[in-house]
Amino acid sequence: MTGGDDDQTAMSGVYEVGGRAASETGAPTPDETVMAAGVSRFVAELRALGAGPAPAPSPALEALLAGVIPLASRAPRSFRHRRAYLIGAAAASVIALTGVAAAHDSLPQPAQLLVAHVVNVLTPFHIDLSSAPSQEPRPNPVSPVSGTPATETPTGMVPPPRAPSRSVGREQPVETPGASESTDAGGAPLRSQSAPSGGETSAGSGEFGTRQTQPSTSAPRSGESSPTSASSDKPDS
Amino acid sequence: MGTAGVTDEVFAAARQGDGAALREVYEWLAPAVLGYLRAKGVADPEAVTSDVFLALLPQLPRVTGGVPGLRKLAFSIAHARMVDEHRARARRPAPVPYEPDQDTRVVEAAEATAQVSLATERVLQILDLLPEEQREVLTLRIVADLSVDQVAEIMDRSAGAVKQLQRRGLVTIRVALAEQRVTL
Repeated sequence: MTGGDDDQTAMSGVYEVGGRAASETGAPTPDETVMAAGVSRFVAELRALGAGPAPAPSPALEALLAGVIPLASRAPRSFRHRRAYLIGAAAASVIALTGVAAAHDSLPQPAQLLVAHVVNVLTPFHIDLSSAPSQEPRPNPVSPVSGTPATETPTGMVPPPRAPSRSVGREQPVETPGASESTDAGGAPLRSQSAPSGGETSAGSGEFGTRQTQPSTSAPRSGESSPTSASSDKPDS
Repeated sequence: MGTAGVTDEVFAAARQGDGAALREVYEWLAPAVLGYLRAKGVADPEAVTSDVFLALLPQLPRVTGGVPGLRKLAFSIAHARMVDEHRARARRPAPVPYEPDQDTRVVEAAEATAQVSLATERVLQILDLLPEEQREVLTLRIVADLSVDQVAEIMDRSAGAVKQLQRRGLVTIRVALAEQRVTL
């Protein structure tokens, strides 16, 4: 218990007051001795305030002391609090992950637009709505009947597979060896590329960083036909 | 006030909910809590003391730091209840019915009661000379018998600030006694 130390500390505080006066003037004067004694007496009387008998407990406290109310009765409350904390943490994690996914354009289109709008309105962050997939016309790459590319060019070249939506407006296509440029009827440049040889797939070179140097070799999304398969379906010969 | 009134064994039994141990904890701590609340001018210190233990005892299984930790927690709760009581009284002063036997202007109390109440009145009169923080420090240090560090935690101050408040409070009392503003 701190009682012994505290007694010494408290009393040293009392004697410090008298002792300082005594050290300044040499020997303590009778008045200083009386004053120090008065402070000591005050401390003793103040300490006596907490030395009386214990008061009679209230009925509720008496029931607690008698063991009528078990001490563990409040344990479920802490369990409820812990469960509430877990639910709150899970909800916060889901919200945070949704926001991060929206920032990377990884959500389905309606959800992406909705989350982007909510984030832009309610938070200081900003998700570019122009990069959302719905802002860009999505070509129908494969005919549902024959499986051939529906947007085949007059030269027989297949337009490059649609780049992932997150790269729209951000990545600049880089001209790569083996890629040739032609123009369609409207004069718009069309970029085509011969089929990758050696079975090279985007999975083999599909690292994120390599897509910038070879944007047209990236694998199409599932359900789209790759240039290689399109060439095999409709050979030029 | 027994500073060694509760042993570690009693404390452990109280944590298990043993009724006798709980009562022993109450008998040990309640006088100091009551004195602290009286020194702080709480209107109904006995009722607030019961409230303090109603909040303290269910928390015994989670008390850390052994018996000193229990004492510190008890006065932390008492301090909070005292602050709440003062705030409530400041917002809405409670009307108190007139009790002639407590009116010292017209009725002298019995001799034994008078001696006790006079001592208490003198102490409270001296404490009234102090600013609130100095009064709080001296009360927690002397009545509650807490260490400087424990008082600092309860008051959310540094240990150095508590020592300074204690020293200034004692100087103020010494000066008041020298100027005969109060007598003991």
